[in-house]
Amino acid sequence: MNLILLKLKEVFSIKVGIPGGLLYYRYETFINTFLEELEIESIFSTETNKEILDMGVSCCVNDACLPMKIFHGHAAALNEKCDYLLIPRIMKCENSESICPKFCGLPEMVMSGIKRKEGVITYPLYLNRNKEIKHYLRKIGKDLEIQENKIMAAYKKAVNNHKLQIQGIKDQGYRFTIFLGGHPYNLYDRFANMNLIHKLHSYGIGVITEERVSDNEKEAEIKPLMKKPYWLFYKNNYGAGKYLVKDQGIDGIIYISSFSCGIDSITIEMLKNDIGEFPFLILKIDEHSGEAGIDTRIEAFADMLERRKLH
Amino acid sequence: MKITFPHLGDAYIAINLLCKEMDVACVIPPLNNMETLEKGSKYSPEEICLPFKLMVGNLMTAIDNGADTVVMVSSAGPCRLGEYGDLLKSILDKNGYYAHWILLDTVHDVGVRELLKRVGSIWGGEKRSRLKLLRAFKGVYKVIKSLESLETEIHRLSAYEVEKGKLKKILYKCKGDVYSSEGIQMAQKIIEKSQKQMTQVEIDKSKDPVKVVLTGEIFSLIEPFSNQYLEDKLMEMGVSFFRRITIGWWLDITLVQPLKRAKAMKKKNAFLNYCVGGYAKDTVEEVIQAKKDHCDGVIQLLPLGCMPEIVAKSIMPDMSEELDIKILTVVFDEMNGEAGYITRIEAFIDMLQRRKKYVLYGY
Ligand code: SF4
Ligand code: SF4
Repeated sequence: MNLILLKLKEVFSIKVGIPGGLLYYRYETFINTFLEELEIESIFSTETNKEILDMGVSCCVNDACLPMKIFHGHAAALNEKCDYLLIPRIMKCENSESICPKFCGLPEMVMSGIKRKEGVITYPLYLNRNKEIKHYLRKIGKDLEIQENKIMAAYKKAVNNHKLQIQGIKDQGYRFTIFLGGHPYNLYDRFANMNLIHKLHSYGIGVITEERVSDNEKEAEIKPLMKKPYWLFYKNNYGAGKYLVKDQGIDGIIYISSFSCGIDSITIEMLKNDIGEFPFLILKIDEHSGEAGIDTRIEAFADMLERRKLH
Repeated sequence: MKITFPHLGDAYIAINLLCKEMDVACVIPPLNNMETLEKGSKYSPEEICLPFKLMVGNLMTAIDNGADTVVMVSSAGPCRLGEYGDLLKSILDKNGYYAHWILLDTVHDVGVRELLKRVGSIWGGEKRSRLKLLRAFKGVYKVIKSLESLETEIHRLSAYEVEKGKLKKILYKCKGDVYSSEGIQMAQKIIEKSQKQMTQVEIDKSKDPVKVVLTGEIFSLIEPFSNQYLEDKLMEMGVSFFRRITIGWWLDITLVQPLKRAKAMKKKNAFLNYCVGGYAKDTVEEVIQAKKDHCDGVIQLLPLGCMPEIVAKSIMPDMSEELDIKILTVVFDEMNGEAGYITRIEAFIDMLQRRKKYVLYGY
């Protein structure tokens, strides 16, 4: 009898698929808490791997950047297994910054890529207003037939947990410290960046990421510009990089970026022009990147840091 | 003070007229050419989009030619145009091209007063009456609009010409004359004359040319060098085509009728309902409209690495299938050998012609 009930539950329970790419790295805690609180049955894609990458490459438009292809891969991996696929459409970031156009059009890109029209959650998400976030979650609640008060309770818990979560990395006790610039998905997707942070550690290089520089400090660095940058990733990395160079707490900068990222092309150049003679290594990745190439470049960079330290 | 600005299609014709009316000295960079691109690429980050590189080339040459103030439109929105200013300045400064910079932001971002102050500073801080500027602007706007309607008409008609090439000549003659005209009034007269000439060109109405809509990223569409003179080629190939996106269109949506624009942006369609930045939603809507207008095909143009248009591009296969319309996406980068891309366009047009001939379905 119990078995039948269980089976029934399995048949009737709705499964929500959560692709583990792009800003999932930043909002993981929030998303997971929210789903757990509501006891929504959710399926997560695994960490990125070769299979996911290959699937992504084959279903995404070819001129897109690596993180987009990877996200497509995650979505494709979940496609058959879930009743609802959650594809966030981030329109504005937490402090009203803009985000890359590809995030705003992500659902369309993915739906067209994996050929799925039904059962995709694509509402727009404005992270700068709590009201809008709640509105977003309520809409999802409606789709999944969950009561509103439950949604709000889960939301509260999720926000709290998210706030408790310490974002970013600030290593201590390494011979060198560098600012590791880049977007969250390039920094924390170990497959995409070929385990970069681990590699750096093995050369005695510790890292600080953009999340560990306060908004005020970033703001102060972008003030002298003619126009306040409105892109989240630009503001964060440019502001943090400049601040850390000035603060003299770092020995160099490594910036990990995906080929054909329009935002990084600006960020990197602005940083380069503004910091003068300072060790700066740019690592660009795409689906063809070989590990050997990255290794040699990191090694050379580590050597250079060593020489500078001795002089 | 001598102002300059980067090229954007026929904008230089309008700005030149405006400066004449307002007695402001301006240095117009040479029209985009290989040299502009080489210069621009040399100093720009490798992966930035083509428009940026050309702008670097434009401004460097203009400063060499005596310009001391750069005026740039910079609209906020999730695309790069708005972030161009600082990087352009940083690159020019670094290489010893110094200038005073005036960024014309949208009212939404800097407020009316600041914008007026910035605009005012173009006239060297002199207290010119705003009325005069308004009048000049209105006049120039009209000139641009009539020039564009002539152009649109010629794009449509040239495929029906009995003697090929006449209309194209009229168009370029007209543009050249307007550019060197002394002021708004004279410019209007020139356009009227060309309009008359156009109507006198012999047309063969029995022709049934392929009809195509051009859409995509704004710069690639209206800057002929960046699309390698695609429109001239289409005229030569006897294609009747339409491009909505022009300087006048851009003025309408940003300055003249922003409210109407805001409303239009909310309009839903079956493929892309959000403004993702740039004009990707417009691109999608153009395809829908092209179908309604019984066009045979759509050509989407974008520079390599263009973020919003990649979103549009990824929806194109679905649109093509569901609307049953042929779409060709052409991605331009600086390395594009001209020959390769012409072959693709020719093949596309050929295919449309064949389709037209053999697939007879009623409309
Ligand atoms: S911000 Fe850059 S890396 Fe991220 S999705 Fe957009 S283009 Fe790709
Ligand atoms: S719309 Fe495309 S070409 Fe224009 S600035 Fe943005 S990325 Fe560059």
